[in-house]
Amino acid sequence: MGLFERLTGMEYLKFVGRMYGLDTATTQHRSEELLEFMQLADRPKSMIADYSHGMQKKLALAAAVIHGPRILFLDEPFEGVDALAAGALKSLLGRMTERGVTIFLTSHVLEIVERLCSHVAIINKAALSPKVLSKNFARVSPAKRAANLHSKKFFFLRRSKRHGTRSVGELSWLT
Amino acid sequence: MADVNAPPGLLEQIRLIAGLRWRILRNGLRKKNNRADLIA
Repeated sequence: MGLFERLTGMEYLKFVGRMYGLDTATTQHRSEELLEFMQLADRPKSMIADYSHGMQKKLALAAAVIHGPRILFLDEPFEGVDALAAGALKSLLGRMTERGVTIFLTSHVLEIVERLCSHVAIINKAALSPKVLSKNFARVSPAKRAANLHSKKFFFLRRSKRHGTRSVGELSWLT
Repeated sequence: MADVNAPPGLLEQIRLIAGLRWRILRNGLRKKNNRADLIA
C-alpha cells in the first residue's frame, strides 16, 4: 500500500502533513482527529506493519485527506476491507462530499456504486462506455446493470452540491 | 482550497526525511531480531 511500515500511525500522518506544507500544530491536531475518527487511536505505539489490511487502508485514506483536498481519486478503496473499516471509510467520504469535495473512485462492487455515487460511468475494455454513462445511476435499467456486471470495471464519481452543507463537529477543517 | 500554502523548502524536506529515516531506524530497533542485525 506504500506506507512506511516501521512508523506508527501518528508518526506517518505527521510526516505526510508536514510534507504537504501544514504547520506543526495543524498537523498534530488533524492527525489526532483523523486517528480518532478512523478508530486507530487506541494503539498509539503499534507500527503500521502490525496493522490489519483494513487499518492500513484507513490510515492511507487519512493521509490522503489530511491537507483537505478538494478532489480525491481512489482506486478500489473498499477492497479487502472489513465491514467496520468500510463503514468508517464511507462515513469519511460522505462527510467530504457534503462539504463539496469531488471524489472519483473505482469499484467492481455494484452495491457500493449504487449506494454512494451520484454519477456513474462504466469502463469496458479500457474505454468509457458511452451507452451507460449516466448522471443518475438509478435510471439505468436493472437488466442493463446486470449485463455490465461481468468483467467490467465500474468507474464513478460522486459530486455533492456546494450549497446546503451540514455543520459537523469533528473534522471541521475538511474543506 | 486545499490547506497547502506552499510545499516545504529543500532544507525543510531534508530535515523531514532525516527525521523519517531516524524514526524508521529507531522503531526498527524495537524488535530483537533487528537489533541483532544491526550489531552483526
